[in-house]
Amino acid sequence: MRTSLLLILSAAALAPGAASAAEIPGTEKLTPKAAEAVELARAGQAADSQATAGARKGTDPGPKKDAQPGALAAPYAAPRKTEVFIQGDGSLVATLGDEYMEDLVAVKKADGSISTQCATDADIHALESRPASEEK
Amino acid sequence: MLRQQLIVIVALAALAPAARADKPVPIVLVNANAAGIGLNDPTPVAPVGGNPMTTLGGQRMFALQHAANIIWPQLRSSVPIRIQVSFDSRACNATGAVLASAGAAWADANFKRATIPDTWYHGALANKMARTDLATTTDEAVAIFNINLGQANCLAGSPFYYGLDGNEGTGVDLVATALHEFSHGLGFSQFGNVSTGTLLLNMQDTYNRNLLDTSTGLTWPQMTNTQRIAAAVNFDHVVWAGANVTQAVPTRLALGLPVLNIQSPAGIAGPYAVGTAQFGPPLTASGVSADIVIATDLAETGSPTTTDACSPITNAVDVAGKIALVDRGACTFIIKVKNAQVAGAIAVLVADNVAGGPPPGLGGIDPTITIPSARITLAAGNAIKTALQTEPVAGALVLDMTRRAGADPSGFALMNAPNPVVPGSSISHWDPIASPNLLEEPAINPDLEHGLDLNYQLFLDIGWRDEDTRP
Repeated sequence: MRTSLLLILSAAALAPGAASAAEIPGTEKLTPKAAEAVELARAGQAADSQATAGARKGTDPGPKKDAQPGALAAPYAAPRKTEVFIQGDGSLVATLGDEYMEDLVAVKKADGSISTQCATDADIHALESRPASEEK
Repeated sequence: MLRQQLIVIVALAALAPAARADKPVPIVLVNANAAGIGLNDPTPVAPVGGNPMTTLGGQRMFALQHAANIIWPQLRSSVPIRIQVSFDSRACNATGAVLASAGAAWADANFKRATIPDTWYHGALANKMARTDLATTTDEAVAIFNINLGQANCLAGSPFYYGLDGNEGTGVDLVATALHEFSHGLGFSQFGNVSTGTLLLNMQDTYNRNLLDTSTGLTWPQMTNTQRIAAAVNFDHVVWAGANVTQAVPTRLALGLPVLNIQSPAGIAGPYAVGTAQFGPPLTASGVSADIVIATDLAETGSPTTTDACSPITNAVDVAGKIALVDRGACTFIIKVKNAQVAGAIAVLVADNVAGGPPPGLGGIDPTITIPSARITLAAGNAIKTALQTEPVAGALVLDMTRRAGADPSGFALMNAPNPVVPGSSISHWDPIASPNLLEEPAINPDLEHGLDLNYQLFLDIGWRDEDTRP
């Protein structure tokens, strides 16, 4: 088990005067491709603009495994952002945001049958703003 | 001498990498609802469809665990898989709803024992490969189900069905929904953006490295962002190149791809993709061949065009014995097809009224419809109409028996790549033309059995192999 989760593409690290990526523990163990990706991200040129900056150290973000029934109200109710962390052993961990959730939408048709479809954000927003139209 | 040979054999065996056979481990569902809510709802209910629980929360959890119990015996790992589950508010209105949202909670790359460098692995698969829990405080996947489903303002009258027997009627089968959603969380998803073509930190993942665009011969990671944007809408050309899925295609997908073959004039001759109808007889290998004729009707309030077949056909003399071409819009598909049938048409083509493809199917139920019908793209409809201005157009609505429904001509399973792109659906599902229907098509079809079908082979392709011979 990896015992530490070290600094990531964090807000602090991106701030002026922050340590360069090479000074972040664990980065010396990155593969060349991973190191390049990290540098690009730090330079604000993240190949995936969805990977956002965030600062966490020493622990994983997200819901806890020791959650007991009833212990958590709605841990994913708040929007989640994707964050990428560099581990001490040079590996990378990405906690995945809402953009990586697959939403399955159902629509009732004129004949009463139900049509389902994995959906776009637009589909979901349409559900929130207006009645779904019949299939024609 | 024999003893010496045995010693040598034993010694060699000790030096060889031990074949390490992981065993299936149960999926642990982590209940994330608060007391009295969702999966803990104490409301009394009667047992239903093989689900013996007698509280609403208990039935919900039992159905989800039933789905998990279908999956885990087919996945080998030494690390328990934990999926956080809950019933919570999701977007909905009276006639539509988000049934569920699910995905991997985290991904890992370049961990110890990762088979492929610089590659993202879904959390549960990363744990299997690493033989340890890489994120001890985080569950591997998350699945949230709509707690309000079936209420007046949320797909009214169609709640989740908690039985295990697939007898959901007008409800929504929770077991099938959970199988589909859990599969996304365990590996049936990629970490790229289909709209921008970007990859998460510019690195491939264990899913998208199996995606191949047969038009360019490039795999997903080999493409530039621009090429990925183009590939994401290149329907009928984006395939799953993994060996296990490809080997299973002949046993999983039926021979016979529904298609419109234009026979003449030569300028537009060739096969055109179609979306099949839920009603009427299915297409056959011999099919229906005839001239294609535009069916006309009266312009009326609410259906102003004269080619939408929303009212009785006015050129029945021309349509009788022919394949009727009508436009989508203004009324349901079954009304259009029924009007053409009454006029004597032997088949119907519904031309889409929006650009894009492949053409979706035609929904609806009407047991009195006895002729085949199919949807074609707007572009195909326009091509036929243009040709009809100068000469007859002959076509056949048939099953192409040289292809399997859901596979390309080379036998690779097709991925969903509609144009325009549909984030959340494109590339992370099988092509909906697949027949028999597959669990991981974009839609949950009512004829699905409670099983993994091709998902199992896909899981093998991304790394859920039974044995691990690595040191």
